[in-house]
Amino acid sequence: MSKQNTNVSQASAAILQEQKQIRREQFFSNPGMVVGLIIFALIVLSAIFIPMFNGVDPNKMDVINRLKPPSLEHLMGTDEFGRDLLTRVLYGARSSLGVGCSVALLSCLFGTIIGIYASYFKVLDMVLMRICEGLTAIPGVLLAIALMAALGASNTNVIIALTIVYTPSVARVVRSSALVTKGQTFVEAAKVQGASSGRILWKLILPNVISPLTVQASYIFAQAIISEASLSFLGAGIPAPAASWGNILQASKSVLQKAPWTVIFPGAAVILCVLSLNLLGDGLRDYLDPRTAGRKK
Amino acid sequence: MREPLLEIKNLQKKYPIYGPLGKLFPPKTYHKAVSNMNLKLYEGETYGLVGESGCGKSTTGRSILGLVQPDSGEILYKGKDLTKLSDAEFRPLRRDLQMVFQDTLSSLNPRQRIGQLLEEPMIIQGMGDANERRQKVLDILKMVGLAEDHYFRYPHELSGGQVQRLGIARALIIDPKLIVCDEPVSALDVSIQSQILNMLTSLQKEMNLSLLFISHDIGVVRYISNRIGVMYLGSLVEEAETDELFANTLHPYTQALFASIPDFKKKERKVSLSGELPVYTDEFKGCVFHTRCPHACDKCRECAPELKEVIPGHKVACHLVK
Repeated sequence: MSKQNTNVSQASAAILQEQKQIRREQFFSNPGMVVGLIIFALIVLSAIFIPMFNGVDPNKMDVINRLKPPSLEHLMGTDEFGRDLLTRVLYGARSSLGVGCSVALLSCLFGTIIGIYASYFKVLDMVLMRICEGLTAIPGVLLAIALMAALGASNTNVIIALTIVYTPSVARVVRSSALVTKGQTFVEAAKVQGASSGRILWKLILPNVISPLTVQASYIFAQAIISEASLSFLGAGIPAPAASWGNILQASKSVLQKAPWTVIFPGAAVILCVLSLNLLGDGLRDYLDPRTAGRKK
Repeated sequence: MREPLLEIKNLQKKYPIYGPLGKLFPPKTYHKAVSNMNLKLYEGETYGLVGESGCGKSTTGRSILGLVQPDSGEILYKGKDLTKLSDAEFRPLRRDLQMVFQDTLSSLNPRQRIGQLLEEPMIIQGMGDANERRQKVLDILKMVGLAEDHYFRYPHELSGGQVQRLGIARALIIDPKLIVCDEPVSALDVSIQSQILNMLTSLQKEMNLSLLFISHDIGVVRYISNRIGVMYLGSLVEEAETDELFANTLHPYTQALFASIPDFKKKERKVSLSGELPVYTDEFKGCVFHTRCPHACDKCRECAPELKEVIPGHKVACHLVK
């Protein structure tokens, strides 16, 4: 028995090696995903580390130097209170990414639970999907503003409001791909073996829902950043003086013509971040499916 | 008289037919996919179920495993009626009853490696510890002619024949008594078909399995089965041992079916059937085959014949056979 097992482990080591190799090639053969990953990683790393080391207070005002164009001292210039724009954009990245990430994770968590149960139990499906439809009937930003008005402006409440806005769309995506998976023969095969519905739901259906879910997650991450920016822009988001990409843009709109850099830099940050996330999500969808992974070699 | 391993009694399954507005209104009528199906399966035998598409052979096979909930009738296994068991009561019996699917690749989870796939049924049934299960997987891989290093492969990395072997391996791994094979070779080319069939028969002898072999391919069924049941429109029209059935074909449908086997020696075909299966509703009267039967008489259009034993071991449902 032990001899057989060593044989297997030798052969298997080679196969696992080969499969890893294919995965690696697959990863790098997808330039969009690699570029997306690099840009996103740069944004995240600089948002975490640069403010830690350069020690500039994002709220320190310097009224004499207000609305200065980009220079060596202030790489992105200063805003109308003379605050260093680079520092504010980086702090803004922290709150925007924090909101985006929490919203993406939370709405995927709730959306997946709702979607998977809805796909499997008919009565639950009726109830849950009607609620989700009701929520999606209201335009997202409007719903978020209404929720913010009810909850009050704070960082946590932005996350709660946006999670409520995005959960239904995740639930729908998960439900529809779970329904497709549920109709496949391997689910029947599992029933023949005697698998319980819990096992079928979480061990068979969930893994096959992951790839559309990943795309949806990256899309929601990006959308949440934009929505948070719009909420802050409308004054219903993260309250000043804390920096977020949205409220930097909002504060800058009155000085747009005098100091365009106050809009260009945070705007570019939003665009770059959303773009990289979308590239990443698209790439991950292909990468996470073992069938396409096998075929591409 | 031998005790049957599995007995199907008066099985019936209807599917609704809706009007033009779909499910808004109650169904117009019902199509009987399986009606009055009776079947006995003995230990160690291969029972071939043949019939054209839509005659209810798959529905019969699937209801044995609880994948289709029949409307009425009994499926007796070890004295228990499988149609009335709850999931939890059925679970221990599933060790004895397994299934090989037609499209095997889609019956395998694409995200599991072959080792995990084969281990899964044992985990569900709570058999052995991790080491024993692994050993069992390796044994079964060898038994069905796959290599040990397939253990870490994904199903999509295998060829069609290998996938079918894997499907059979998965059905065998928990030592079942009965395997329902739903068109297991119809997706394979002929040389692979015979390999798989030979493997099935030798494994069957080795493990004393009973097979319910569902197929539309008479050649395949003739090759593998001890007994054959010919199904038409939801019920058996003829049933006999393989040699007897081919030597002494009684039912007009079976005759037509056998005549449809392509034969290079004879240029002309004697009997050929035209048209398709009719919709079998409650209003349908008479023998199931009368709409297409070349010998149909008034009696056939009025009342349905019963499945009678005309020669020992040979049952036919036809008014014309005395």
